[in-house]
Amino acid sequence: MRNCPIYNFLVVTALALSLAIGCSPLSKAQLEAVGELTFRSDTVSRSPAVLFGRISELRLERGLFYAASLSSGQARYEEVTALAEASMDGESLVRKAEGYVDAFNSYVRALHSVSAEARWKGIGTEFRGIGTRVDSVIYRYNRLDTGYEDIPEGYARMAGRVLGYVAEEVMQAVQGVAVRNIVIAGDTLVAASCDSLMDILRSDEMDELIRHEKESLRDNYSAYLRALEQRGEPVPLESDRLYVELLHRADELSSVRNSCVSALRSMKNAHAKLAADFAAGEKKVPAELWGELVRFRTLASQVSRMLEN
Amino acid sequence: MEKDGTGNPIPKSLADIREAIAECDALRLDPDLPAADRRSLEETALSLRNLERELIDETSDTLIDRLEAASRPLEDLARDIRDRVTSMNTPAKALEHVKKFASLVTRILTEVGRW
Repeated sequence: MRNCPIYNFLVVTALALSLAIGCSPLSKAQLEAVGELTFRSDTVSRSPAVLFGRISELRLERGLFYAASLSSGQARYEEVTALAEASMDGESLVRKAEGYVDAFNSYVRALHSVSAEARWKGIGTEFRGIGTRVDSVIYRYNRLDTGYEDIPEGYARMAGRVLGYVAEEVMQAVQGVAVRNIVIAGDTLVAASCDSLMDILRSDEMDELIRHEKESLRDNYSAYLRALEQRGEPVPLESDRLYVELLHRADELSSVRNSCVSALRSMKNAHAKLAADFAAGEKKVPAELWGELVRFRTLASQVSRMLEN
Repeated sequence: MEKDGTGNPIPKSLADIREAIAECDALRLDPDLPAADRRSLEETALSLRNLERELIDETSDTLIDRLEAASRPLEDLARDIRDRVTSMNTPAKALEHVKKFASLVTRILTEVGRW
């Protein structure tokens, strides 16, 4: 078959088409860099919503200590009811915040999807599959005693392979163009969104909320202990244990916030470098960019671990 | 600080409210306090706690508004990318149908051959 004119024609056509069409504007390394950038971005961008949730939980727990310091049943009832309502409002606020950060995550997820290897591999697999199936059809047809001459077998499978290869090259080029255009077009907005998220995390309001929870936790637990002492009741060990755990959680709020700010800054820088390289027609990924991507991945993993605890 | 009808300052910030709650707690948790006075001070404590919750809500709402403003521009971009992803999937999906059709024809011919 290798000396067959049809085979030779198909191979030469495939090579010519591949050379002409397969000049993707992006290299494989650049597509990998995009994948690396989008890998954990959603963890970092949803951090404001997670912080709201953590602050709300802390507020409920310390509020229960405070309610237990009240001597009158009516007062305690009113306080616990108010805590429950505030907790439900807090959950609603977290859901709202998650909805807003989802816009950022949609961009990241979409970019991750466009740059995935499966995007171009899938079409090659389909063509090769069709070639094999058409060959099966021909084989089955030839097995029938129709009286007609047999249709040559093997060409359909070969054509499927050749077309699959060409299609993969074409799709890689299409993918490269799409990713390049998306990253360049989106860079200004991504930078603005990262800046906005960083501003929100570093804002005086967020600072005040975190500081208020840390200090009020101590005050509320102190009130609880004094109330028990006044009533002559012993302090359950579980209360102390819970208080220590809450202190850890309150302390972690600042660390999570600071790590998220660093990760967002790293993500913004990496995205900007990628966009600049794409716009300049660069095919290599400079060491500086890989360094920024590695740094971003480390910070994002750190944030992810903190948020899972 | 502004003062209310009884001459007490109205807390305006979370730091003010913390201070006010702490002062109230120091008074109400005094072991020598008569029960009636303690009940009255607990009502004051509840009012301060409600005020604390209002201030927290105001602060949180400010942050949420900023988050909403930050997310709006990216929604259009995300929609555009999703449309591109859908159109990139179209050729592969069309080929999947062709492949299934070819499989069906093979099965039919196989059955015809047996028959």
